[in-house]
Amino acid sequence: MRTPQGDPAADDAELVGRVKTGDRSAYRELLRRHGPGIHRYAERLVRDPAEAEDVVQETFLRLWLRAKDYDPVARVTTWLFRITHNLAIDRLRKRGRSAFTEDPDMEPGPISVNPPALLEGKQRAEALTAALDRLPPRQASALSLVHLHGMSGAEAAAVLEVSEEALESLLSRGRRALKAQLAGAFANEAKATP
Amino acid sequence: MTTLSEARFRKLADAYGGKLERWPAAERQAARELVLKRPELRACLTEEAELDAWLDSGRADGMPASLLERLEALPETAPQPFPWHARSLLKPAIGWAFAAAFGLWLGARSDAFELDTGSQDTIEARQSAEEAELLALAAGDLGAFEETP
Repeated sequence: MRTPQGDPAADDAELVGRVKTGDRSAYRELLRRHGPGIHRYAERLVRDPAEAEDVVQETFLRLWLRAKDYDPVARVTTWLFRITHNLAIDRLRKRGRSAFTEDPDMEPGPISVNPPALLEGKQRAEALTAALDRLPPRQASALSLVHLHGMSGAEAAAVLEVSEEALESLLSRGRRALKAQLAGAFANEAKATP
Repeated sequence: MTTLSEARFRKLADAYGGKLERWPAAERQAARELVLKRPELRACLTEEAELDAWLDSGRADGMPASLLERLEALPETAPQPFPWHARSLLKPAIGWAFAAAFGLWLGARSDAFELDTGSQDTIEARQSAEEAELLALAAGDLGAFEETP
């Protein structure tokens, strides 16, 4: 039975099927489930809060108007993130940023990280965001999809339209670069641990 | 059963980190078994734990309230999606509409399809010939229908 607040028990694909028929409660349930993750991912890609909001709005507008395009072979999460990814890349291209033409040799230098006492909660997340922002975009996207959004390698590869092997390479290089950037913080945390 | 080499194990740890639940599902069980056989490989996983903890701190935690409001109101402001579920009704409707339109068009052009009935004399001659054939048939004279060579 449908409820006015959506249907938390319904799976995503079923909700998309209902969106096709103009069911607003199904749309809102999908927004509740995926909105925060989509927003975070859009911010990671475009690195501009206002533009990220526009990308999220376009993504959900597409969900509302073009739900028929959803192919149930893929998970709804993968489909939505892929829309977001493509919209964000289009915007970056228009902006003239060579966002996804990654230089494989580019290794960002370490960032200065505050002492561990300050690296609690939000600040720790901000330090991570700053470190991710310094990575080549494809590495940052791969790490973000797998670690921050909980996608499997296959799903993240589908969003980025690369092979799973290529995704593993992006993840490995991204993790190595992040470790190098956060090395100071790691050392400080190790010292602070009794 | 999938087996995993040490090199592949290290490569996966390098890519996906120290939490086996993030590794590709097809290789997880083999990885667990390899760690049981080779406990020294556990160090590969613990080496990644620190970065994993950092990455976990960056998980999504919501979106601005103003954006959420805008997105929630989107179905009210955006056009309605096309009712794709009604396609099954739409196809026959289009078919009938087309047939009706074709019928009207034919009706409008009926003059063009009138039979060339010829003059009154010709009609009477045809009727007489048909009557003669019918009478011959009634009399059993099948020869009336024989084709002339």
